[in-house]
Amino acid sequence: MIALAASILGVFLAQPAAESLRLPRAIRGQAVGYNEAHPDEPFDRIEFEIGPEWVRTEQDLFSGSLGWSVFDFTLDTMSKSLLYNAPSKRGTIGTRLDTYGNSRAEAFVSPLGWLRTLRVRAANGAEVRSGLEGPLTVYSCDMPGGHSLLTMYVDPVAKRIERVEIDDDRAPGIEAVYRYLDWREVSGGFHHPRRVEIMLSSPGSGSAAQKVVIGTLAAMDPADGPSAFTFPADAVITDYIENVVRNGKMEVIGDFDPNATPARVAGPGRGVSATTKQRWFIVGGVVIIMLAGGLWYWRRRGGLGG
Amino acid sequence: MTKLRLSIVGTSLAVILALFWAIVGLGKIAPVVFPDLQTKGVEAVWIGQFPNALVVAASSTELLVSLCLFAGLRRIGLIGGLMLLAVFSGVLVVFPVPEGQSCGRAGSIVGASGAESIDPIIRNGFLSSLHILGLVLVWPDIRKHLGTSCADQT
Repeated sequence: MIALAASILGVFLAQPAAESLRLPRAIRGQAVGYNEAHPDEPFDRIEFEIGPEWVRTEQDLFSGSLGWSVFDFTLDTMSKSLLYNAPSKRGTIGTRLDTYGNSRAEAFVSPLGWLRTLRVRAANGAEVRSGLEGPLTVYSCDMPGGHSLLTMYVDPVAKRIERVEIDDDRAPGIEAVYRYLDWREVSGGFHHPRRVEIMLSSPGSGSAAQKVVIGTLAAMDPADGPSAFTFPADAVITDYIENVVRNGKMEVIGDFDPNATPARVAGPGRGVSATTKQRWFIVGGVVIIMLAGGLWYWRRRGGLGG
Repeated sequence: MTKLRLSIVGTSLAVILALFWAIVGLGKIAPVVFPDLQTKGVEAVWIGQFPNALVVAASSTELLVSLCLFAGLRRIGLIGGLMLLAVFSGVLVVFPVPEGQSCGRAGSIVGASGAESIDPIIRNGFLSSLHILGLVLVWPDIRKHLGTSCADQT
């Protein structure tokens, strides 16, 4: 019991809070990302709203002279996480934020989400520890089993998250380092970086560097929550929480079998599973090939009368 | 009479496939030519994922296949269509479509019919079978050709 209490207390003490780091509790803004290969040409633009228990992002890709095209949306809360791909009009609903503590794009624009990641991971069994490394305070998060998920380096004097190194258990072998630079005041003594440099590396493909410049930034009231999205009515969104398929209005349009591979996703407005449709396509294709073969044979045998 | 019926079926199938290739070709190239078509949440599939040059090349080839089929060059059109499907399928095998993303090709048509959720390679297989049937229907009477050829040799 004493060990358990000490463990809980240790976890509690080990986790930094936004206030202690003089980070705003919630922010909104817009950032532009650049890849190392094309440093003068934007790669993407991220509009973001990040709070302690929710995240909303919209990622637009740069298409040269055509400007920006919407690529995807994320809307994460602790009850459900929605990821939507605009070109394909496909999306998923899951429990990413509640399970892992982070959203898809937030680390590229703000260090705020790492505080939530530590909190959520600790609540789910990870061990969060803190220590000193030179002038920096180091927070580490070890998963049950010993895998070191992330290491966060904090300047205790400037109260800034300097960098985060992550070895995500969902993408084995891929490591990332996020450096948060150019800190400026947002409001009321709270500050936030204006530039993020990211180094991604994997054993197979080497490393790649990215830079994100945060253009506009403002503090938000965490109680306001994220803005809503409007999806096309014919969007197909697989809800992995309730095992149903929804349209863009979030109406249920079909069932989803979590054991099926690939996932059964009903088409818009049909209510027929993809697996069933695929079977019809396969059967149809085989019948047509047999018909073509039969016809070919019949013609060779003189079925048309020579 | 049967020959005439088969010819009508072959011509109809060729016209349907010509329309198909025309629509998918125009669907790809339209956002390049008319960027205003892009609105939030209703994005063109290819343009966000591939370079413009590739989008234009793919759509031009599809439109060429369509043109051949419409112009009566059915064998060339059908073989061209089959080759396009083979190339697209090969690319899909080498670079699988990430979860939650469309493969792009034909998405503009089949999306409306609910077939967007079908595995793109299965979809390509089905389309290939239609092309093969079309080829059998429009191919000249092979028996006649073989007969002529054999007669020449003897």
